[in-house]
Amino acid sequence: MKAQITSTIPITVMKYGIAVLLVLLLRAITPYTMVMHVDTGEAERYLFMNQLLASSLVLEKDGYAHVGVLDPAKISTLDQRITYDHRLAAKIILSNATGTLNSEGFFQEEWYKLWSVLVGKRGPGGTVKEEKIYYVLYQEGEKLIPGTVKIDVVMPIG
Amino acid sequence: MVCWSKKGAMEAETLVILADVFFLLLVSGVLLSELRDVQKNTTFEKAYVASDLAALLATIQVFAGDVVIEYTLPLTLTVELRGNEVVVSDDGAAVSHIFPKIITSTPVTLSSITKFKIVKKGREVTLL
Repeated sequence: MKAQITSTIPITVMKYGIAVLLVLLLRAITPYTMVMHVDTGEAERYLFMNQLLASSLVLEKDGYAHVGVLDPAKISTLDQRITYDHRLAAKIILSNATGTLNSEGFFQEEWYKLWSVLVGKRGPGGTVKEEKIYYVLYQEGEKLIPGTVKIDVVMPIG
Repeated sequence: MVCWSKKGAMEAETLVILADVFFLLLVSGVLLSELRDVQKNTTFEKAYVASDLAALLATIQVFAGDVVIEYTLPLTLTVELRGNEVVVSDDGAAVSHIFPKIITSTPVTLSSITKFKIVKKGREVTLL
């Protein structure tokens, strides 16, 4: 009888193994048969850049928001004013018209440094980077200085 | 040395059968729940709505004035706004998407709806 039970163990293990494999197979096939994820990463990156220029970095003075005019002091405090978990990270560099650096800052600096070394790696685990330079005005004392703002946005794939 | 009586052997066999039945029920349950989700085939719609709403909420926060947007869903869904996350669900699994939050968002859950409003008033955004 002991031998009978011992002989049924491999068969039982095999039966259970096949059943587990079946479930895993179904899970693996499902993403190929239906759309599980909508990739809006590119739109989100551009939206974030536009949001910085239209709202988060904009100079507010005398009760008005001056769109197109940046407040350099706001660059270093982005983390306190935007909640975006760990969806994307950014580096913002504000320079004057001759290219001299005025100020630079990060949005989620720790993640920016972690993700920027993974730029170009394909598939899950990799990241994508979007760089844009915009011509802007920024406030220095009471003057408005023409300059450029370079925004690098890094985002994990998937 | 272990002695196996006829009664003991039958008990062992019954246990094996019971284990088989239990495992069969477990696997069937998992398969059926997977199939239920797949058969409904609403994952795309949920993912689409969650992404679209997240993008829309990110955009209207930047709008200078107050704004009300009427949003029509492609099917009956439950939409939840919590912090900087939009969660869309039906009877099956929920799909969520986050957005950059720069103004206050009032947490709200709208159950089984086909139409709702996105309201931005002052420095606050919510769903009604």
